[in-house]
Amino acid sequence: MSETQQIKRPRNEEEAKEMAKSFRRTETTLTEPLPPPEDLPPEEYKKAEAEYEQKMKQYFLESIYGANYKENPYYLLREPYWDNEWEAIKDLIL
Amino acid sequence: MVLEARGNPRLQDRQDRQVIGEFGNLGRELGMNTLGKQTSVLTSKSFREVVLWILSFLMEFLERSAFGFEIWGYPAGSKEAEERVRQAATQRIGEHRNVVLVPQWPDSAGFGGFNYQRIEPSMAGAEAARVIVEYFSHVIKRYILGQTLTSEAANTGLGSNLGEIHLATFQQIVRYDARNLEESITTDLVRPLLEHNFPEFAEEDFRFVIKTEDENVSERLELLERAYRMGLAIKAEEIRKLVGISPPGPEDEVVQLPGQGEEPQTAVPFSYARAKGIQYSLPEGLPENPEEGTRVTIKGKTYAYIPNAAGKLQWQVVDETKSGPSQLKEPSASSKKEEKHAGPQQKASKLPQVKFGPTTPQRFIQFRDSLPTDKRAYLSQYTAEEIEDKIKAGAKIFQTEDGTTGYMLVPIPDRPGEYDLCNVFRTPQGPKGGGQAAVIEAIRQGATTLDCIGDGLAKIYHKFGFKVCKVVPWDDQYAPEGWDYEKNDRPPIYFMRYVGDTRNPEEIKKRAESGYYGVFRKEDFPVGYEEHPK
Repeated sequence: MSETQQIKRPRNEEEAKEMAKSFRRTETTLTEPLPPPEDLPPEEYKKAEAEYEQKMKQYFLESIYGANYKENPYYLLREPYWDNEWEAIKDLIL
Repeated sequence: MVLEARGNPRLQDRQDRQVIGEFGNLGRELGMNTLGKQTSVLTSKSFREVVLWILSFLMEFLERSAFGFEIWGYPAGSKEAEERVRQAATQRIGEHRNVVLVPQWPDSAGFGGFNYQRIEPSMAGAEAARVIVEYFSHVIKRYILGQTLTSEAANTGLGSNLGEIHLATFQQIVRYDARNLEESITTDLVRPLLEHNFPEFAEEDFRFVIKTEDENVSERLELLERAYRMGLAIKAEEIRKLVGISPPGPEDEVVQLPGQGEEPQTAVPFSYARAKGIQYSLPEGLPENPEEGTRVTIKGKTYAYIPNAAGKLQWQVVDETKSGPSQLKEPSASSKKEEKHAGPQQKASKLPQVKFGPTTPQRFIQFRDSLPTDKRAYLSQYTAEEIEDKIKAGAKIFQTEDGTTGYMLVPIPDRPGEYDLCNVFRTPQGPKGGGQAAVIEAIRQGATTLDCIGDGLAKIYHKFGFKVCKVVPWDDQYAPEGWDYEKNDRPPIYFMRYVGDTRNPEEIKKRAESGYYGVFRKEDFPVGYEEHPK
């Protein structure tokens, strides 16, 4: 798929299911990140924690929808709402 | 056996009171005066002879009267004709048939001679015979069984309870016979065997016992379950005894209800030594006044002084490759010095150990509802009253000491020890990893099913061994209060069930960290997916 080609976004689950038939998933090479050590100085810890959260979010995303998640029709269906979903559930993960 | 027994007081008594009386009735009904004499003779005979006499009498009655009469005519005055007719009748009929030879005189026209006439009995006679047979059938049954309703149907009247009364009578007879048999076997078999083979026990009161009454097992189990739900500690041994099963050995493959922990099954406490008689003994070398958590290794086995399934402190063999919940307790400072004998300790884990305890609905809701609306919207928002109702029906709620993390377990009907997991939450102020610790602890306690909103939560639970069994589309009528469609749209709803074969927290944790349950691929679980479509 060329970068300039516009990706078609499914409008509902049925469409996503149909589109998923031609989707070829690439498994993520990421591994689940580890939380930062708690004995870091406060400033460093805060920074490391934010970094950990971002890494976890990315790992989480790729493990559900694949490394090529931007081509996964199910992700495309949920993409506009994904950040909010992550915010809602991240406390159970982190 | 009972019928052949001699000197059995029950039989003697029943013969005196019932059989003679019944024969008296028979005599009156048939109008036979000689039966009174017969019964006096019968009292000295065995019951089998009595029954056979009744049957032979009935058969004779049927043969003589129930099949009619035959009249054979012959010319009067002719000896030759009479002899020929007698021979013919004798050849024609069977024994006991009623035959009458009648000489025939010539009439006014000079006719008269050989003829044959059959007089059929009336149906009233046959009916009388049937009634008599039925009557005796009941007499015989009552004589042997004491009643009739355990072997045949009869009108008893709605709610008369007569069937149960008959059954009780029958059971009394069974018990009576069993007691007599117990006495006989105890006296004539057990005691001689004991005296000849185990003379040292000859003075002991061994008895042969026939179990004639079963405890109402299901009723007792129901009571035990109620008591268990009320928080009473119940001996596993007593439950095993009640249902008639033995405890599993250390090598046995076991089927175990989820949520019951692994301790009780592995609590084969110690190997016992046979010293004076049979007794259980602890190995030598254990401290006399141990503190909770103390561990000692003796001859390659590690013993820990930890609570048993009933919460009572006792020495238990610890399998270091496994770890039950009570083994997760931190040992006291004084016992730490002995840990060097106890083998490797738990591996370091990125998932923290967070302790949960029972809580109140009010406190649970207070913290759960402190979550921002967007986060709370992903939880079933039960009210305190709803939670209280669920608790009355067996639900449990747990929370960390600081209240920031919690979960609820709702019992699954007809699946004791299994729960539906709901309301798992951690506030942003809660311990890191507290949410996952809650899931692990819930699984340990029997969490077996759950439902959740969206791919992200399904992915979390998948990591711990919950497998998607059904995916349904969002339905607005079930939308949580405060659901923001602009921000969240309509994600799918996942129904999941726990497929892991362990309830051991360390093992659950290890599996989650190692990706034991594989990758959660969203495309494998589209809306409409069902594990076993029916």
